[in-house]
Amino acid sequence: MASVVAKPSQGVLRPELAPVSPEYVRDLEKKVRQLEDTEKAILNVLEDARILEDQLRRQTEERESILRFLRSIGDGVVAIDLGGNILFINETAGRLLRPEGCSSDGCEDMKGSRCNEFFSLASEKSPDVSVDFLERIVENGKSFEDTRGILVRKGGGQVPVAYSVGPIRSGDARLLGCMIVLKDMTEEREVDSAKDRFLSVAAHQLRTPLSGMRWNMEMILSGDSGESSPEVKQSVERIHENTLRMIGLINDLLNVALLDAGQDPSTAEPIGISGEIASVFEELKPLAEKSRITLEYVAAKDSADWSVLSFPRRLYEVCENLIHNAVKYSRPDSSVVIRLEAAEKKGWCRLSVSDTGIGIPKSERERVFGKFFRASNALRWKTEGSGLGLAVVKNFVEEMGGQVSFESEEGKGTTFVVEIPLVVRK
Amino acid sequence: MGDTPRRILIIEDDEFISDVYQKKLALEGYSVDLARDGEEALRKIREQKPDLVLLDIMIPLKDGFQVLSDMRNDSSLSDIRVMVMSNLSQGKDIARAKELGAVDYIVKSNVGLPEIVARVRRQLLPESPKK
Repeated sequence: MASVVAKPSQGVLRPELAPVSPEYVRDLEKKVRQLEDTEKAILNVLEDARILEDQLRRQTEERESILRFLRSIGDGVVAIDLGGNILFINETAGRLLRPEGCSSDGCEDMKGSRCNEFFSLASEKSPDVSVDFLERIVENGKSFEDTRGILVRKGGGQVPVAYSVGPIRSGDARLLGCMIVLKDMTEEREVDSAKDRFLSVAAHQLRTPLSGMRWNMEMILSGDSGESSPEVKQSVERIHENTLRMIGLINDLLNVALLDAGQDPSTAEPIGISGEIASVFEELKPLAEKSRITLEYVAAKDSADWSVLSFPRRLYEVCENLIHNAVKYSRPDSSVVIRLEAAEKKGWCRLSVSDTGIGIPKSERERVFGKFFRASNALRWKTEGSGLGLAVVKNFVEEMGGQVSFESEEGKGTTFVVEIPLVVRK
Repeated sequence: MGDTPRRILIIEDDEFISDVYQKKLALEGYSVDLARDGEEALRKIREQKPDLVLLDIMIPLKDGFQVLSDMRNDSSLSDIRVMVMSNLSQGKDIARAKELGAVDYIVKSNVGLPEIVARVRRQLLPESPKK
């Protein structure tokens, strides 16, 4: 196939190029180098930018995953700045504060609001007093917690919570605000109060037949139910002793179980100490006489109107446990001395119970106030006993703001000393 | 003595326990009557105006707290002394009974008969004021 190739015609006019001077060439070369440099620089900048962008992306991812972690913590988390504004709030906290309207990201709108528009914190002990958590953090910078707290919703309603509040600080340790962690304790408290109710009912049901048994036996022993033979009397006496022991065990168990639950301090009342000691004295006198132990009670002259702040029966339990122990661990033909006097600390009283009994072995002294503890020589001496009495004493005395201690020498005797602040009389 | 005996009303649903009370307090020279539930208790308190009421808390129909508060809201009964005798021993129960006007609270299992008699006698001393 013959082809025709068009060739540039000789006749086409080309622009006339100016003659190129060597300076011009050098100039051009210089510009080209400059351009190349610029390109390199731009590439460098672009590379830097890419690195920065990478870093930024990684940082954003990190930040988001930290926030995601915070958001998905099962406990409620709220961060608050020094002005009381919400910096961050997670889903759990959002639902606790505003149960009606909080979708998965529904708490975003709370951010930036003042926290006291949504909630305040209080303690179960004084539910009407809000805790100034931010002020507390500003004042001493230390974190604090309350396992029996209450979250008061401004929208209405309360949630029992355990909470902790800690300071948030910048890199240079400047205080920026505080972090509150909230744990919903609704179920735990319900279990607690169910346990309380159960124990209270169980104790009531166990005591009812025991009181009937006790009193019927007391009628027999006093002769009110007619004369009975010495053999019968002796048997009834033994049954009576065992009934009292059973009552004592129920009381110990109930007391220990209630120790953990705590009491509402607003129901505490002044209780006369010498009156309680006198009741215990009367109650235990027959037992002491039977073991040929003399009970002596020496009270300071002005002690008749000394009162301590406590709950009904607790002071009685303290005196009963100490005096009963002294009698129980004394040998026949000895005496137990109960002394009530002013303590060295002004406004405090001092109750001491001294016996000349078996004493407490040195190696076991640290465990004396532990639950279910009985000293080895006590176990040999008398097998019965719950090992709860002194745990109860310590707990009750400390609840009254006091302290309990003892001195003892094995084989020689023991003195327990209780010191309690007195109620200031108006 | 020609004095009419002081009248005590015992409110107790447990027969084993009420029998002892009744016998012991009668031996001590008191005139004793018994109610088995909260309704019967209030009826007898209104009819008899006893000098002292020994009141259990866990009783049928109306519990002891309810009986106490009904008595307090009735001006003809609010002066009658009530000693609560219960095996509930929690501080809050004791505080509630005292708040409702009980003059004494005895945890039954923890107190022997002689002590109960002594405390009943103390409440019935002619000169002792209600609170």
